Amino acid sequence: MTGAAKTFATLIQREIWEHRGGFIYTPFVIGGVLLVFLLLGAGSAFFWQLKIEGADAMAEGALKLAETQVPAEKLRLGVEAFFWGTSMMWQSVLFIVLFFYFIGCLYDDRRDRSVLFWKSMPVSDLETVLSKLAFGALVAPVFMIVAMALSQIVLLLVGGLMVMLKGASAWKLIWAHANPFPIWGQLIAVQGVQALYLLPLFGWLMLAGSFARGKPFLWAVLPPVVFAIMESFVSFTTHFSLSKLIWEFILRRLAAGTAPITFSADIGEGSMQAGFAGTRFAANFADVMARLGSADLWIGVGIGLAFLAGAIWLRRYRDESTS
Amino acid sequence: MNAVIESVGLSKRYKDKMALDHCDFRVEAGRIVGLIGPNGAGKTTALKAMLGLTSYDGKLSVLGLDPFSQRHKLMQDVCFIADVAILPRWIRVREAISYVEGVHPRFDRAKCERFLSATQIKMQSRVRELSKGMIAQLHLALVMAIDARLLVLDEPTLGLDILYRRRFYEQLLNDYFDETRTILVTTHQVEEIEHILTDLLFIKDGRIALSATMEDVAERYCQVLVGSDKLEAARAQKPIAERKMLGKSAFLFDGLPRERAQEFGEVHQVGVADLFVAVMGGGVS
Repeated sequence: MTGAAKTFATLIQREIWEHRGGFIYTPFVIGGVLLVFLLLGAGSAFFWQLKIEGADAMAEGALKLAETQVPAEKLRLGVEAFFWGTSMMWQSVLFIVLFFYFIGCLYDDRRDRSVLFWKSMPVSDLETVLSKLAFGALVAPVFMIVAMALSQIVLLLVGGLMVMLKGASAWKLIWAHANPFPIWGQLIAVQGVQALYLLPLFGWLMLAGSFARGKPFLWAVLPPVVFAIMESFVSFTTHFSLSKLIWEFILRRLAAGTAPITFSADIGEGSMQAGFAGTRFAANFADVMARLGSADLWIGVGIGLAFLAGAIWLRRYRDESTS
Repeated sequence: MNAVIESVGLSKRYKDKMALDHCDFRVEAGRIVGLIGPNGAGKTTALKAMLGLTSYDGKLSVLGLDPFSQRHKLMQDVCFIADVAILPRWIRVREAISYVEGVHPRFDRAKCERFLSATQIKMQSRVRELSKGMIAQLHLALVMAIDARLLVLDEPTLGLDILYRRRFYEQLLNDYFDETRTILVTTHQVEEIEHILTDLLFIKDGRIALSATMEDVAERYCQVLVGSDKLEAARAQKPIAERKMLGKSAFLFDGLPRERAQEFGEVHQVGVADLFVAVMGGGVS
C-alpha cells in the first residue's frame, strides 16, 4: 500500500476501534431482540395451548392446510415481507446511530483534548474529516447490512424449526421461498445513494460538531430550526415561498434517513404493506435509484460539500487554546 | 549549524492581550532547551505557534518550514506531547501502536514494544484503565519510537509522582536523545530537569527574558554566600537577587568576575530555579 492509502486505511480502522459498540454490536443486539420476540411468541403459544383444548391440533392443522392450500407465490411474498419488514429495524437504528456519530466525530476528541494527540501525527485534517465521512456514510452501513443478513438467516432458521416442531414442513412453508440476496443487494445499493442524498445532513452535523465548544447537539439542531422558522415568517409576510422548499429539503432527508427503502406487495384482496410504505416518505428501490437523476440530490451534494469544507477549515485553523 | 527553530518578532495577540510580544530566539540542533516561565507568560502559545496549532505574526521557521501553512509536512519530523493524559481514553495500547505505525512513516514498532516491555503496561489495556504515570510512559514509548528531529514536551510530567518523573527524563536522555535530535521542554519542576538541559529560554509577559546556553549561564551568573560583615560591600556590586539562607545571605550576581566574587565569600554555581526567581522577580526584592 502506498503511504496515503495506508494512512486512510488506518484512519478507518481507528473509527472502527472507537465505534465498535455503536456500529458492530448494535446490529447484532437488534437481531437478538427480534429472536427473543420470536421465541416469546412461540413460548406464549405453548402456554396458551395448555388452556385451550385442541389449540395444538388447530395450529398443526392450520400449518398443514397452508402447506397444501396457500399458493407458493403468496408464501414467497410473505417471506419477502419478513426480510423487508425486519430490515426497517436496522435501517432506522443505523440512521439514529449515524446522526449522533456525525455530531460527535469532530467534537468528542476536542472535548477530551485527545485532539492534540491526533494532531501530533502526520495526518492532514482533510484526511481526518474524509475518513470519518467515509466510515459513517459507507463502511458503517455495510457492516450494519452484513450483521442484519446474518441475523435474518438465524431468525429464518429458528422460525423454520418452530414450524417443524408443529409437524409441518419448514422447507415447503418458508425456506424454499427465501431468496434474500436481491433484497440485501438492493439495500447495499441504496446505501450508496443514501450517502449522496444525505450528504448535506452529514456535512451539517460534522460542521456543527467541529464548531461547537460545548452542547454540539443544540448547535446541530437549533440553527436549522431557527432559520426555517425565521424564513417561514419572512415568506409569510412577503408571499415568497422559499420556506416550503427548505422545509421539504430538510424533512424529506430526515424521513428518508429513517426509512431509506421499504416494500409493498399485493397479497390477496388488500394491499399488504411493510414498514412505512404508503406514507409519503416511503420509497421503493426504483424511487431511491431515481433520485440519482434528480437535481435535488445533486444540489444537496453541493451543499454537503460546502459544509464539509467548513468542517475541514475549522478543524485545521481553529485555535483550540482555551487554557 | 542550522537552526531547528528560528523566530524573529514572533507575536500573538488574543483580543486585548499580547500573549507573545516580538519574541526573537534560535534553537540549534542537538540541544535540550528548557522553555521556562510563569503561568500565562506565553509558553503554551509559543509551543502552539511552533507546532502550527495557532496563527501568529512575525517570522517563525521550524526545521525550515512555516509551521502554520506547512503543518502536515512538519509533523513528519516533529513529535509532541502536549500534556499528560491526552491519549484518547477509549483506545487500547495495541491499537494505539497500530495506529501510529499506520500513519507515521518513521515509527519503529519493535522499539516501541521494547520500551513498553520494561513497564507494567499490557497490550490489551485501555488507556482509561492505566494510571496517569503509565499513560505518560505509553505516550513517551510511542514518541520515542518515532525517528523525529524535534520533540516538543509541554509539561509532560505534570501530576506524576517523583518516581515516574525521574524515569521519564532518564529514559528520554538515555534511550532517545542524540546530537541529531532537539528537545524543547516546558515544566514547572525546573530543578528536576536542569541537569539535562543544555539551553535556557525564559519567557515573561510574552517576551524572551533570557536566552542562553547552560555554559553561558555558568559563566555569567554566580551565587555568593556572603558573611554578615561584607553585606554592604557585596550590595554595592548590584546583585540581581539577595536572600537569606542558613544564617548567611545568598547574593546572585550577573556578570561579576569570579575573582571579585570570591572576595565576598563562598562562590556557587547558580541553580536554574534561583536564576528564574531572580530574573522573573525583577531584581532585589
